[in-house]
Amino acid sequence: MRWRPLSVLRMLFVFLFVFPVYWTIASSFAPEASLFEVPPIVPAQLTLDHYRALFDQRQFWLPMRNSLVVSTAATLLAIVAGTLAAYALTRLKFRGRSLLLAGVLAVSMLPQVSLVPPLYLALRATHLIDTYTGLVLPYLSFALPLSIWLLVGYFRQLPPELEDAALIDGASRVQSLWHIILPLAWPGIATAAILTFLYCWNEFIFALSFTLGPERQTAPVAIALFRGRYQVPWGQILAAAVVTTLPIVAVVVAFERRIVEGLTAGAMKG
Amino acid sequence: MTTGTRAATADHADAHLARWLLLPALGVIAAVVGFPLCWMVWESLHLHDLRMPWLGRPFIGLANYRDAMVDPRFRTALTHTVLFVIVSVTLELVGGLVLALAMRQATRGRAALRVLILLPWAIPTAASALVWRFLFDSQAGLVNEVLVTAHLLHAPQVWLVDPVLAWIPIVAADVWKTTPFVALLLLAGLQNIDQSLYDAARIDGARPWRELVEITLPLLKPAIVVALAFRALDAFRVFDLIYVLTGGGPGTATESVSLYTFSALLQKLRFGYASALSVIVFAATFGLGLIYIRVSGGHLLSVER
Amino acid sequence: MPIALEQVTKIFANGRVAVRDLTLEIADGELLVLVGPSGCGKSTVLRLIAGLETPTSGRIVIDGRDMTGVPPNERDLAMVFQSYALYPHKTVADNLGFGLRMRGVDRAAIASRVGAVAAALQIEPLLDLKPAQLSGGQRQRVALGRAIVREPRAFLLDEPLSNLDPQLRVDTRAELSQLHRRLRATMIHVTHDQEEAMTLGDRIAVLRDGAAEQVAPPLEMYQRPRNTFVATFVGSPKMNLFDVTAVARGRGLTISGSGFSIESEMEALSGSIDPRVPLLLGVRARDVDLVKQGYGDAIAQVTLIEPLGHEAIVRAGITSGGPDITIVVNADEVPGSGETIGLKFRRDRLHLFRADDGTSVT
Repeated sequence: MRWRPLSVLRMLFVFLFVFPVYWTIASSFAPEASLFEVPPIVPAQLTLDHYRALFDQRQFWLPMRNSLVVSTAATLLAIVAGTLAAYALTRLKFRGRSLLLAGVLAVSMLPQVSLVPPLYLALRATHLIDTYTGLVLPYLSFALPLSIWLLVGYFRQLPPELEDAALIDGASRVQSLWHIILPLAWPGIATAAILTFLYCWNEFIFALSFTLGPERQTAPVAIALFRGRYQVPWGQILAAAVVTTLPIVAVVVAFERRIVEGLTAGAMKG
Repeated sequence: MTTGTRAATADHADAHLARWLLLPALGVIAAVVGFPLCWMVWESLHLHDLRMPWLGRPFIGLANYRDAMVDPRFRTALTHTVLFVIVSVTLELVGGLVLALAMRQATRGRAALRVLILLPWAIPTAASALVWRFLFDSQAGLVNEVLVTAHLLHAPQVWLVDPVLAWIPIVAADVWKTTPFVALLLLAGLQNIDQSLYDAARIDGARPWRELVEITLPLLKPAIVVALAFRALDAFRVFDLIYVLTGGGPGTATESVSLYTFSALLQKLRFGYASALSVIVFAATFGLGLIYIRVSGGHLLSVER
Repeated sequence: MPIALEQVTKIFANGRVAVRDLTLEIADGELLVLVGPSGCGKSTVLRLIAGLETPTSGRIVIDGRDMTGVPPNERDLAMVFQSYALYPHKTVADNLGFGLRMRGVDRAAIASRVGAVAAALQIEPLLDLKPAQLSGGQRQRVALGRAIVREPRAFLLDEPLSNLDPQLRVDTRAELSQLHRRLRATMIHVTHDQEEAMTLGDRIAVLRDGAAEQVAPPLEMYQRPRNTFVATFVGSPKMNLFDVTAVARGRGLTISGSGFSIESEMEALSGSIDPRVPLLLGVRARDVDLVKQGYGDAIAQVTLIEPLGHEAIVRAGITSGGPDITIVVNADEVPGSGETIGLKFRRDRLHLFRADDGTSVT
């Protein structure tokens, strides 16, 4: 199938999907005034005003810091606990294994909004509202099942004979996990970590519900709550959107192949 | 007989270790998901309105659920959500399929293509919601500019104020964000199809359209089903996008079930009622999930080598 | 170390019976080959001995001790896998030394033992490479080396030659044999190739559907198979089987089949010498001689000739509607296609089996 139309189609798609990104970036560098007169495709003037305002007036580094702390903490915890659990679920024989795996899958299908009422009450009772812990723990409700799911998919791909060989060679289960499985599973673990981090960074509803102010709000929530004195501060909002997305873009560009593999392996193995 | 106990020793050691390895993960899930879920069910059977604390928290059985069933705002939200799921998932599947087919042929710059395609998916939903709100803004929005210049509109349309038109930026944003994801899933499925099948078809004289219908689509069915299920489940739970784009407005014209539950909780402070709504949403999602597992043949759950 | 399986049964979670009440004894220093068609349970038996599976019932006794519930890392056995299962992220040297390291052997000792084994197997130049950089034959040697360096109680080999090219397979087979003689270690070798079994084993165990059909030294298995399954499994081309009946004649028997009749001095079980008892006559392809027509036991018409160089496989149909027969003839005796030939069965190489269950009656 060597169709020229396909290349055209490809170009069209890329254009359609990338254009809004370009437009956002371009607009974030356009002066405030011209924003409300529909700027041309390529802005005539470029300015850093919005970005400066973002950090000077709105102290946007606060939400960025919060996002970083919460996402990293949640990812680390989820990956460590998830790796151990995934190993047990795929390599050790015990009763109820399939049931547990089904349970993990079920939990990952939960609508987050369903957890907000009880978690809110629980966090309020333990004085964890508007704290880092009060975000990381709820984040684990989706980060853990996600990690486990991705890691189980990955562990299943490792040849079981390698562990058999290690056991026969005299290694205990724990030794074989440490010396053989983990070094080999490292790419899969990295992929799971990257994807988990992505989901944590983008998380919105928990951050919205369980924080009260800029000291603990994450970046997505912060930009959603931007208020202008007279009109919607589009320049700053778009600049904030760019800044919020930058770390993610960096991760995606650096790890694009891993991400695609992780996403498709998890789905296809199912 | 010694056999039974001796043979069991090795397996017991396995199970013992398994328990320890699973403890952290299961412990956290039990605390952060299991316990709140139980509490949520318990709360849903009680009247708990923080605006009226003097009423206490009496047990009212299924009254909350009955209220939900006849609540017009809930039923509207449900309708909105189902329609949203149908429309966006269809668009995403078709678009994703076309995109995947187009990407399959690409030989050069495939990595760059994938990065570009992944960007919409990776951008925080809140951010992309704002981007699309900007695009559809009545004054500064590009969409209006383009449509007016192309004489498809007489004057700039105020999208977000119209109960029906307000859905357009929402659907556009969702389709923009997830079509690439669907395309990647389908592309992986496409690449799994044995090239020799196409060779055989070509020798048999099949034209490209035939190849598509007879070989590609049937063999892609498992991937399509997976993509469909993932997306349907996700779309049903939509919250971030609508909250940031329209806030559920105008009025409640773009409210989804998740949004309504949230509103009942944090704006109306009706914990009992919100809990009941949560249980309903959860049950619906769970039900959909079960159907999906059944349809996909259940090998998702197999752990045998 | 002697190894024994006592009435071992293994039923998997899905209900499949892989091993059926198997009792098997392997003497110290013996090379026993487990052979049989796919699914006969031979790999499962190996895994049971290794401890990678636990028996549903029965005992595994190694060196006189009941090891049934003992985990694999405590059994001090070594295994060579069909896919070699080399640790891809470790160098050859680390692969070889891994087992010793797990047992706490000190680094200097590991280095010297690894070096000695590498020299013996001629893989010294490979020590710093990773498995991905090796050829199939080299990987196989490393897998062997990993087992040898541990000086285990016994060696378990799961189709270690199956992934090699045919020529390499034959060469490596000889080396394995020499290795066994040198180490004088107990070895259990699993294969589906009957030729491999015949050349390697001190004894062969033929398995079918989880049970042992016969356990015997190769020559005995070839000359005195206990049933038709073993008879047709061992030896290539497959043994010819003909429907016959037998009647007593003086001190011997008259065996009558479709298109031929043979006088033999074989002794058979009394119950089978009866024209009403259907029997099977087994004659191997190499135990049939070409003779002038009329001087033999049967006349046949050649249907197919497969030349092999030094000899040829000839397929023919016994005349007057008789069965097909396969024989092997020397290159200088090959008949023409369609030619009519005379056949004589060697009297000392006949086998008789019951037709209903295939057991031997001689």
